[in-house]
Amino acid sequence: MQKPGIQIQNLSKCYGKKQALSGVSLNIKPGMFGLLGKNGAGKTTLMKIIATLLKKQEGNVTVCGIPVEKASEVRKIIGYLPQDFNMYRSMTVYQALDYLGVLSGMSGPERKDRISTLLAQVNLTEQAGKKVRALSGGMKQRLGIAQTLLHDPKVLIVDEPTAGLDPEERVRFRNLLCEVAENKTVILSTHIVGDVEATCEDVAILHEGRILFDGTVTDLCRLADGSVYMAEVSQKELAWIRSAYIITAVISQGKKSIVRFLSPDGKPPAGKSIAPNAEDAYIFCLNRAGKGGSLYDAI
Amino acid sequence: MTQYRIELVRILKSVIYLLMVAGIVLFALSQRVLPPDMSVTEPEPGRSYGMKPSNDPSLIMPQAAGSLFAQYSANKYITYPNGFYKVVRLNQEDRKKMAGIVAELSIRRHSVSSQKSEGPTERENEEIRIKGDDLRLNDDGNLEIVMPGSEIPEDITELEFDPEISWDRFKELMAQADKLLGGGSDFSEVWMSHRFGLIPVTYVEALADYHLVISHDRLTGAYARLFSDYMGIILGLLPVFPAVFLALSDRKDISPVLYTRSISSARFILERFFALTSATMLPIILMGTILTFKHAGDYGWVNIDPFAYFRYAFFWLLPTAIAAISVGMFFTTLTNTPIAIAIQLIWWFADISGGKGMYTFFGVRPIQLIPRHNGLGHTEAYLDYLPDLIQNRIRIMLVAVFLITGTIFIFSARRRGSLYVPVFARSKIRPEV
Repeated sequence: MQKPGIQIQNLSKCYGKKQALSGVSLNIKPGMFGLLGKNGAGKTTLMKIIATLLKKQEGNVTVCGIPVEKASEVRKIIGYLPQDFNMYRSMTVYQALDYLGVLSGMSGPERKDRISTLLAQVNLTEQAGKKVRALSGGMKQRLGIAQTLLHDPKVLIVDEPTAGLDPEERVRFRNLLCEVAENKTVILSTHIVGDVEATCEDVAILHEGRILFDGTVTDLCRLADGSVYMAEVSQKELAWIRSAYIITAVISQGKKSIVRFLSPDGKPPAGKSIAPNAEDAYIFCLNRAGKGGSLYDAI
Repeated sequence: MTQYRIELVRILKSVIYLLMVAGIVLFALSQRVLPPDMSVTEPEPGRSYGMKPSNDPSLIMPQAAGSLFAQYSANKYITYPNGFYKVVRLNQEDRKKMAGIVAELSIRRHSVSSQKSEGPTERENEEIRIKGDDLRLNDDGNLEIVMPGSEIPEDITELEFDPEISWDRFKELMAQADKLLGGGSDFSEVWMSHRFGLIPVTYVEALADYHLVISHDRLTGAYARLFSDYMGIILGLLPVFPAVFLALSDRKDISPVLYTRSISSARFILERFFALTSATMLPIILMGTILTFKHAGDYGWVNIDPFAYFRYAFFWLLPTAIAAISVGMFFTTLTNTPIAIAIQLIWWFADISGGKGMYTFFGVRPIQLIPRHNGLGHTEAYLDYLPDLIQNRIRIMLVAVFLITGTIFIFSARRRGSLYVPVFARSKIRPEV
C-alpha cells in the first residue's frame, strides 16, 4: 500500500561548489503545504528533485512511498506546474491538454471527459479553442494547473504559481488550488507569504538550502509572538524606526505613518505589541537566521 | 500512435515543413524529374550513346601520367579529401618524392651519333633511353637532366610516358602519389578510370541497356532511379530543418511539463521520429504517385512497374531522409541549439562533393549519404553496384538507428537533469535554486 504524502530525509544537492540543499528533512502530509523562501533559497531545486527533474546527491525522497529514483513510477502520480509554465504556442488550449494527456498515457475517451471537466473547473471552457499564445498570464496559469490535474495525480508540485499575476488573478488562482487540493498532497513553493497564509495549513521555510522552520502556519506566527509592534509615527520617527528595527508594513496617512515593525530584542520605546501575522513571522525567521540564531530557540 | 498523429499534424502545419516541401518540389521541377523530360527510346545505329569509364591501361596510363606531370610542374594539385575541394602544394621534401614518381614514369630519348666503322664519315644515330633515375630536382623545384655530351642541365617541360611500365607498377606509383597528396586525387585507382579511362558506349551496349530498361526496370524503375538520384540530394539536407525546429520547440519553459509525464523516453522520441519520417516522405510518395500515373498514361499500365517509385522511395531515399532527421534530433537534444543544421550541412556537402562531381554518375561509396545514378537507364551499371548499394543503405540506416538510440538516452538523461554539456552554454542544466 502506498504511503501518502512526501517524505524527505537528509536531502542534499550541490551545483559545483554551490550547496543548493543541505540536510533537508520534511514530512509532507496530504493537504496544502507551503514552502517559503527567498529567491535562491533552494525551493526550485527541492521541487525539481521531487518532480524527478533533478537527481539528488544525498538523502532519501519518497513520493507516496515510492523513491524518486523510480522516476517512471513517480511520474504517474505527480502533477508538476513549473515556474513560468508554457506550452506550444501554436496549439489551442484543448490541443495542449490533449497532447499532455496522451503523454500521460490517457485513453481518448478518458482525455475527452477529463479535459471538459478541468476546463470548466479552471474556467477556461470558452477559451478551449484559443491558441496558447493568445492567453493572458492568469489564463496560462489556469491552463497550467489544469495540465497538472489531467491524469488525476496524488501529488501536485506547484512552483511559484502566482508570480507575475495581478492581485485578482492571484486570489482566483489560489482559491482554485485549494479546490483541487482535496484528497491530494499539494506543495506550493513561493516567496509570497500571503499565498501560503491563505491556502496552507503546514509550512516550511527554506533558507540558503536549509530548513529554518517546519510546522503549521499558527506555529510560525507564534514564533514572533511579542516581537511585532505597531506605532503611529512622524516621518522623522519613521526614519529612526527604519534604522533601528525591521519594518514589515507601512501605511502613510498624510504627515503620519502607521508602521508595523519587528523588535525581537525587547519592547521598543514606542508602539504597542500586536499579534503577528505569517508575513511578520516569516521576516522574523529570516532575520534571526541572518543573525546566526536558531529559530527553534524562540519556540 | 496518438502522439504520432498529433506530432504529424504539428509538423504538417508548421511553416518550416511547408518550406521544406516547397524546396523538394521546386528542386524536382528544376531538375526536370517532375515531370521527366527524357523518354526511353530504342537506340538507333550510328549515334553517340555517351561515355563510360573503363579500366583500359593503355588509355589510362599515358593520360594519368601526363596529368600528374602537368600538376607536378605547376606544383598545384586539385584534390577532394573528405569530399572538399582542395588545392595541394607540396613542400620541397614531398616534391622530391613526387619527382621520384614522375621520374619513374618517364623516359627521355637522346640521339647520339656513333662511328659505325673505322671510316671518318660513316656514323649512325643511336637512341639512348634515359630512365627516371637520371632526372633530378633542381633548386627551383623543376625536374632537370644533364644529357650525355652536355654539362648544362636541361629543364624538363614535357614528360614522355615510359610504355614499358607495367600496369601493376603504375597503379602502385599512382597510389603513392595519391597518398602524398593526402588522398582524394585523380590518381586513386577508382577515379583514374573515371577521369582518364572514359570510352564511348557502343550501339550494342546501348541496345542492351534499352532492353534491360524495358524488361528489368519496366520503364518506371529507370525513371524512379533518376528521380531518386535528385531527390536524394535534397533529402540529404532539408529534413534536418523540421527535426531541429521540432526539438527546439521544447523550450526551457515547456520541457519540464513534458519531462514529468509518464510516457517513456523511448516512446516519446520514436513517435516523434516516425512522425518526422512520415512527413518527410509524404511529398516523395505524392510525387511518385503522380509520376506513376503519368508514365502509365505514356506507356500503358501493362508496360510499367506501378510500384517502382515507392520501392525506390523506401529502399533508396528513406535511409538518406532518416539519417538527416536523426542528425537533427540527436544534436538538438544534445545541445539545445540548432548546431545540427551546420553538422548536416557539412556531411551533405562533403558527401556530394566527395563524389568528385561529374565523375560519379553512378555508384556508391561504403558510407555515402546520397547514392548517385545520374542517368536514365544504365541498368547494367545499377545491377553491378546494387550489392554495394544495399550494404550502403543498411549502413546509413544503422547510423540513423545509432543516433536515434543516442537521442533516447540523451532525452532520458535530460529528464532526470543528469546531462551537462559544457561546450554549449545554452544547454547547461543549471536549475535556478
